[in-house]
Amino acid sequence: MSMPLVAIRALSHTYLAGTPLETRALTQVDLTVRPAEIAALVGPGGAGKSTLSHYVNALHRPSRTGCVSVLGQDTASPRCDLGRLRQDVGLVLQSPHLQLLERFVGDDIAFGPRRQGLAGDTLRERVRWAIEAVGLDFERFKDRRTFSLSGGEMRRVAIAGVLATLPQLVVLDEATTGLDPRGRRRVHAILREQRASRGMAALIISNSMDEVAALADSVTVLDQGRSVLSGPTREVMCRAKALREIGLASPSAQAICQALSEGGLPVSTEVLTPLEAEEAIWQAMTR
Amino acid sequence: MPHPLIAVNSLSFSYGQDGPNPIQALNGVSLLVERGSYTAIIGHNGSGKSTLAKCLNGLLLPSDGLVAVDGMDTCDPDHRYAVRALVGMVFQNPDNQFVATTVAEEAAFGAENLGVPRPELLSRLEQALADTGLSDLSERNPSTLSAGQKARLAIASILVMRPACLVLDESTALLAPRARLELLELVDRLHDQGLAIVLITHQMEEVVRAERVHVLDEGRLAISGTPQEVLLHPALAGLGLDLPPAAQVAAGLRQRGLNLPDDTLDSAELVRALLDLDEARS
Repeated sequence: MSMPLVAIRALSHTYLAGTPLETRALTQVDLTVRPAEIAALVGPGGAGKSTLSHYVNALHRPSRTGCVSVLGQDTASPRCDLGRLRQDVGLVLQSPHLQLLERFVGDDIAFGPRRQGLAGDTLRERVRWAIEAVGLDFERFKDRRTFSLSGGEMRRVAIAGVLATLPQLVVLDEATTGLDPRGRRRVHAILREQRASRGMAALIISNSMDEVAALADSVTVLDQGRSVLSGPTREVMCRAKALREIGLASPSAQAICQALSEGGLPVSTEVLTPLEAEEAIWQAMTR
Repeated sequence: MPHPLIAVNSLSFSYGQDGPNPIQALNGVSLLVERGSYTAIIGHNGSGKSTLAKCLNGLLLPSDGLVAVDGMDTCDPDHRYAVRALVGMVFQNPDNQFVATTVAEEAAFGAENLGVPRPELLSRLEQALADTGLSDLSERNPSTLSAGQKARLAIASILVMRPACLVLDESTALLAPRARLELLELVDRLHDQGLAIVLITHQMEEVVRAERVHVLDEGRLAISGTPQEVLLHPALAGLGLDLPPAAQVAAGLRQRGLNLPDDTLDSAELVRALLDLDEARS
């Protein structure tokens, strides 16, 4: 079996340790992301998802407890090459306002690849590709002022800016929140396409169980700073009761089949998407 | 005849209209928000939803056309406070709107600034904290609340101003499933108490809760109607929007030949319709 891209073991994190505002954010958390895998991190608000994501590109580094290995580098080690690591791991923050920095959209997206040494036509083509990858029109958007964009457009530009550096791993912290359904599908499609064409992996943080069910290969569930469930998406999503207990829900498609099953219709409840639910219900109705 | 609560008449809005590259966000939008109604506004990214929301209480003023709240032109500076007190806004990230150090002070802040007399203020505050389930948290620092509690605090601070309308701009987007449902249930209760609701959302299953749905596309109103009329409208897919999951399943089953009624838009309706159908068959 190939070495994981990200291996986090027994990681704990405390904000403002030793002060009256001390807050325990993570306790003995494990997380694994394998090459070319789309992994999801879910959990109620305050579960520690964003804190954990900051360890993946070494914005936080373990001090005393836990071990974080990303692309073969131990991020706690003084020899860890942070420049290299952050080029290879693209992080899209929850708030695009914190991520965007250039006045014009085209320059903002060119910022990363330019620092990787791209220039001229190669750079322009990379920017065009990234803008179109998130479903925006290159000619119409490249000269728009970054901060005149709508909330959803800013999110798309933030994602494009990270994709433009062709990272080996992209971390999306609620990055598709506020995207319209077509925009979400575009982002899902580009993640799958980059995985197929060059083995890119992704770690997505999402509050939408429907999105996770449709996109992710594996899921880690955090609750109050602990990893309480993890495994292949179908396995985790079938733990309806455990998910409900911590304030999460089953994907809509599965909830429909669950309700039908409780109502006496012999339908499979191990479905993740509306299409799978349709097939399972059709089987049951024509039995 | 009384004025409609909010009348939007041929509203156009451009950002940077005095600069070299104005961006037209709204183009000739007309709609009414009646007292006590429940309206949903949907549309793809950049279609003008948030701009429209900010025009409803005068945070943005029309480039052209008119927005009147209870008959008061939002452009009239004399009516600014009255308009803002009648139409309250809740944004996606409440952290951006908190200013005080306790929940009670935060909730009272807006009404205090409107000059509500203290005894009246305290009784409204008590009611608003009770309505939003925050009574036990009144001395907490807002920054220590969960995301769902913060959203409810943002609503409480508006309720203290005794508004006639609550505008929620993607306020549920950052919430985990249970917190999202709790917020929607709170909104339903406030609507039952007579408050008009304007819900801006990308979650198509939330649209089903509304009485009237407006779809924006490139700054224009593309479709308006009941949730059923809008969700079954043939132009919807072309506007970058999807059916809610339950309606997708229902549409697929209908196509395969199951005799499901047209109005199965949410999960509960679909489950009921399927169980009825199964019973009728056996």
